[in-house]
Amino acid sequence: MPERKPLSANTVIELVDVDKTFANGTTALRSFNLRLQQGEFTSLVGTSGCGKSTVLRLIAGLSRTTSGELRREQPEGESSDFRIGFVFQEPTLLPWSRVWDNVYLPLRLRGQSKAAARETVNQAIEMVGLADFARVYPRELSGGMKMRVSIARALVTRPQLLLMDEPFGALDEQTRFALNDQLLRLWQQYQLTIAFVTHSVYEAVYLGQRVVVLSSRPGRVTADIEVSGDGQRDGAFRRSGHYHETCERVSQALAASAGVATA
Amino acid sequence: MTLPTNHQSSTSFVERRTVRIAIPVVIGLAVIATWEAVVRIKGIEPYLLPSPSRIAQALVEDRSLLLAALWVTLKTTMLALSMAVVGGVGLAVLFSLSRILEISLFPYAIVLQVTPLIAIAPLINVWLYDQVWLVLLICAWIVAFFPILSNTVVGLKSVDENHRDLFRLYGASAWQRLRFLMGPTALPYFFAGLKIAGNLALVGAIVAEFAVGAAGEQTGLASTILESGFRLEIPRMFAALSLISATGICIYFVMHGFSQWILGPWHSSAGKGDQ
Repeated sequence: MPERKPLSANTVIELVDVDKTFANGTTALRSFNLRLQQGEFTSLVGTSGCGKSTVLRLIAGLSRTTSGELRREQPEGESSDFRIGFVFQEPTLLPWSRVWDNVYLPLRLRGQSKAAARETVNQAIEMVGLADFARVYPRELSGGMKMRVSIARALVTRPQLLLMDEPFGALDEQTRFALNDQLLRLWQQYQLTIAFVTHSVYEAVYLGQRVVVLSSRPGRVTADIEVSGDGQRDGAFRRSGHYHETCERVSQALAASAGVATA
Repeated sequence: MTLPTNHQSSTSFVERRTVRIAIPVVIGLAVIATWEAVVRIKGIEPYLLPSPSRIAQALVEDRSLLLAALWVTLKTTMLALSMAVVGGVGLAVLFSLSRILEISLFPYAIVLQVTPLIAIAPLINVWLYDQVWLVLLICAWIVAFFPILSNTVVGLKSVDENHRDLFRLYGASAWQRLRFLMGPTALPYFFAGLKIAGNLALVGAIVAEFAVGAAGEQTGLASTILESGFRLEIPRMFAALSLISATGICIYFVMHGFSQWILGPWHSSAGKGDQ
């Protein structure tokens, strides 16, 4: 076995010098480096088409790196069982399955029987507050509720890493704020590690402990901005000077990396 | 979430349903009444145009003969349809697993489909000279098979890209993908094909019987029509014809109901729900 360089403590996953070129010749990422820490909420922002989604797809194993290294934490004695939850831009629910069966899907694909999974699935549905809707088909739910089911499905495997690709982009602002807060509660309660892609600077700063800014294609990390003040995130935080200051810094980094002159 | 109240939805539903059923029924009754009246007033002979009452009489009088023929036609249709479902779905699944198989065999499925059945039937009759019923069965199968195959092939390919990623993320096996993703995705397409195939199987069974001129004890409704024509028993001819129509209508509604029953809760083509 080749010697693996040990990951620094608490690193869940690390991308080292990753390049990604698609079959059509487009280079999405070049010399991309990113480290995700245990229990951290990382927001990724960038202009559209900068490769934000590609980063998540590489981490999830839905796409392969062209070169570079992707290192995962591999606890001693455990199998290579690295569980990732993925929340797509769309809720991506199976329309022919009820809410309960949608959330059960990841466990079903892992070969768990319904009886064995019952408790876990019920818990996941309760976590997103949809216990009353377990027997309902997705078409009967609102957009925000569908997204909550999608989150429950991603969490049902107790993932070491939760990847979210602009999950709230299609929702109205009211619903988006509510889901932001619900997500933060889940993150705190279950000590999740989250990588959250968004094109909204405000959402990125509100949610993340750090905001990683990507340049336009080929994507590189151009800024990694810490959001201090790890106290409660609420309306007061949204109105705070620190919040607006950070948003401003992220916006500037974004504009600079996109090559847009700031007026 | 706003749901229509029970009262509102049930009244509009009943209204729509009664109107939709009543109008065609009234028109049908009017046509039959006019037909009956014209035949009686003009004194048209039954061997030219029998009156509806005369046809009904033939239905009752010749019921044992007609029911036997109906049974043969029905048996042929349903067996051919079942074989078409097994063959069509089976081949579609194989195509979805192997692109090479698809590009090598699909053109021949199309050739089989575009060649008129009436031209193929005599040929099959030559090969299977003394097994008339088998000829009918094969002919009905040929026409019923294609809509199921082509629809299911399209359906299996219509899997949503995100759903595909989801299954890849959780390391689904090929079987799991087929069972939990591609199958359910293809289901509405399959049912659309099944509705067409059900009636095509009936058409195939009838056309083949005309083409091979089946005679003997194992004959269906088409032979009854031919034979009644030769003997100038025109009311019985009409009676057989009405049974074919009734069978076609029944097949359509059975397929439709079956599709509604399976897809109803989740698929928009079922037309229920509030979205």
